[in-house]
Amino acid sequence: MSPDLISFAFRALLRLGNAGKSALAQYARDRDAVFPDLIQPEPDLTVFVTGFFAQQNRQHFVAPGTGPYAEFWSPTGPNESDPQSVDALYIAIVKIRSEEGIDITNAMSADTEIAAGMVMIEQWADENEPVGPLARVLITVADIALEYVANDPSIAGLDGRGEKLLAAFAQSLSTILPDDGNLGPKHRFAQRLFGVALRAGLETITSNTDILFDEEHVRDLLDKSLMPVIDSLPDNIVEQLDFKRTLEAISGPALSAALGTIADYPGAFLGKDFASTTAIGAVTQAVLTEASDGDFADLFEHDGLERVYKAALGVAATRPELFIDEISGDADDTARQLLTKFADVLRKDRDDDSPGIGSQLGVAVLEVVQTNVHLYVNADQPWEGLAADLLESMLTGFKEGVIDGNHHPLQTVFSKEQLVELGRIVLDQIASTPSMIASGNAEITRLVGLIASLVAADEDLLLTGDDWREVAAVIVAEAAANPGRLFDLDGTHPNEKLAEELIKLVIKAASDSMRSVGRAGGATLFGETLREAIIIVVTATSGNSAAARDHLPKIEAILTQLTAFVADNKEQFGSKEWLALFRDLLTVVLSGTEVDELTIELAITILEGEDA
Amino acid sequence: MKLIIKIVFVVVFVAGCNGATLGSLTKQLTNLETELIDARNADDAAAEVAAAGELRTLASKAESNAGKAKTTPDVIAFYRIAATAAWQGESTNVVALGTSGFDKCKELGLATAPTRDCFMLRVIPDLAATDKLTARLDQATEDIKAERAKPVADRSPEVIAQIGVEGDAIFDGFQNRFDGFKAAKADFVDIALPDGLDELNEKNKNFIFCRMRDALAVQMLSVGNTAPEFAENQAELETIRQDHDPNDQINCAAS
Repeated sequence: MSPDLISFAFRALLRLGNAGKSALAQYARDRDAVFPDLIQPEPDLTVFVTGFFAQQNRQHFVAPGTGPYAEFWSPTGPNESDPQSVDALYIAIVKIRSEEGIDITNAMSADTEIAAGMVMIEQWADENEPVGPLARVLITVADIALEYVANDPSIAGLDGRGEKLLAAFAQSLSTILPDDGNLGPKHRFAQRLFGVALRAGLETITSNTDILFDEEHVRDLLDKSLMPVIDSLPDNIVEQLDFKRTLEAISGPALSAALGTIADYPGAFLGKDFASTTAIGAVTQAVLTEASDGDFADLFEHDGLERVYKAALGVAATRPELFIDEISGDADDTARQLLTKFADVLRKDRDDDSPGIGSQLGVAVLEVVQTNVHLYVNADQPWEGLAADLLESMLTGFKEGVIDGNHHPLQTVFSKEQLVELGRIVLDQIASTPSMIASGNAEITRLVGLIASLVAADEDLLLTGDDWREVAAVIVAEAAANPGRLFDLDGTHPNEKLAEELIKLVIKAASDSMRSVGRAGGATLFGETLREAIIIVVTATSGNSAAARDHLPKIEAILTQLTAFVADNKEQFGSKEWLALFRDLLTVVLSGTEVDELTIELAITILEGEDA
Repeated sequence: MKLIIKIVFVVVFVAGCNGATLGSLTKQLTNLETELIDARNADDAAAEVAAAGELRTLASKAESNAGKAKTTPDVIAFYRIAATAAWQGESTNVVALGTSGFDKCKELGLATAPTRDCFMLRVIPDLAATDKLTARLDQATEDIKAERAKPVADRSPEVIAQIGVEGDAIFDGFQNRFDGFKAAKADFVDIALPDGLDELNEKNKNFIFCRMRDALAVQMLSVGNTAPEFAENQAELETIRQDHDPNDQINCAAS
């Protein structure tokens, strides 16, 4: 028998003995106890009627001369000269009380004489009842069992992963519970919280068959994420109730996600480097503490907080240095700052028409941060602030880009997922263009706003969400490469939004054609063709914005002329020819050369040249 | 392994002697109280006297255990048993037991001390005094009825006057008990009471109110409504009624 086991056995006996004695005494004290009734007086009708009419508020009934029952009354009670007076007065009382809604009929008869008795009364009001004696013993036994598992995990009967998990939980919980079995509110809360967390852990094992836990890392994670939360249990009982209810609801999913992170990034949680454990512990603690305020979780809507939290866990696992103080090696306030800053942005830019968009974009932001962390680590500005700014820029851009405030065109075209994907495209491009981050948030806001306003301009829904995603990718790429006048991303020429004007010209030509002749009449500029037309305009003009500005009317004329021409000759020309002709004619216009009137012969010549 | 189980058993159940004694005395109290009630309801005076005697013995035993108990909640529990048994056994030390027990409650703090036990310790002296006053009331009622049963010429003015004085004293006694129950409730105003305890206290206050009315009746039947003490009591009863039962809902015929 190992010394550890002997030590355990003595502690267990001591603990069980203390708990047993204490529980037995508590059981005896708290049993329902007899509370005797007062002894009833001998019933007496004369005393009863006299007492009734002797009261100040009943005297008027027997007042001499005016009282309706005065004839049965004397200064010393019922009129002794009338043997019927007591009965008459009793009947009067029955009548008076009956009119007042009180039935005293037969109350004074012998058969209703109330026997003395007793009642059994509990010790406590429900809300004040301490942990019951049985529960106290069970908790202590559970504590012992957990400690035993910590000594000899193989008895748990699970495979190695479960043993390590159970052992980690057992040791962490065992250090909290007092040896004397006297549990205070914090102990009880800790016990419940650990129970929830343990279930979450076991569920994580079940759903991650290849997960490998390092016991020390799990224990470290539990200590760092749950202990501060337990310590922050409010003293006020009413606040405690809310706190416990919220924490017990969210701690399971939170711990499950944290342990899932260990499964997702196994390399970060092995050996003696606890940086990643410290970081995900800090993120978990931050989310538990902040989310104990119900309003906070509401800001993220639906499962938004969980998504953001998981994304933050990913960052913490792979980039623990972002959450840890360089000198002390302990977690700093970054995780909490990140969540509260995100919450501030969501509070400010909440869009009831697009619930959940903010938090999903927040996830996208964190994913970009995770893969491009070097861009965000800036000594002058905390990275979590930059990430929150990025989220705010995205949300503001989407909002400002929508011209018509009465409805939300973005929602008409895009599903929520597509909208988030649109944001992700912008973010990816930003990530691949560090200068965009360096140049500040205004650029990002304008870029997102530009895309949003273009989508809003497509009133006839000629492009699908997928089409717009491709268009957006090209716009972002071109904007990153040529941030000058075409896009006015630097904000120096607010009236010269050339790219926006050009793309809107294409959309307008497409809408006009669709409305005038329709598909049956030969309109080709919609869907894939329109998408490609926009891409041609953007790519052809981005490097030559001055020419595009100079020849804007001509570009518009070409669009109108070409669209009408293809419709008029729909038997001969279609969308493929439209695109080929547009590409050629646009090059001609941008070069400053006059374009001849478009004829079938000219069109064939151009197309043959294209083929050649 | 068997040895370990035996040790655990000994540690838990033998070492837990306070719990065992408390449990035993609690059971004894319930049994004796049942015997007493049965005796009263059967008008079996001998059985009532016997039960009361055993209750006084139980009170002494519980008081002795209170002196030896190691935890304050246990001390309080023993005092509750002692005070209840002393009250029912009509012992003379009810007030002392109630006060000693309630002092322990105050030491622990009423918010955390066992609610029922402490509330009972707070009110048992008043309950015991109420029972004694009720007995005096019964006697006074019997006396005045006996006197009034005589022809007017044969009645003793001195005896009647004496019954009037007793009626006034009983009234004052009940009034003090009413104030006692009110003060007890005030002591526990911020503490949630277990089911039935608040109702029981209200029921006892109603009982006292009705007995004050009975005492007023005894006074009137003896001295009439012209004595100054009677007028004073009548006014005091009305003040209490307006405060306690402004809508006249108490049915004294049923209490």
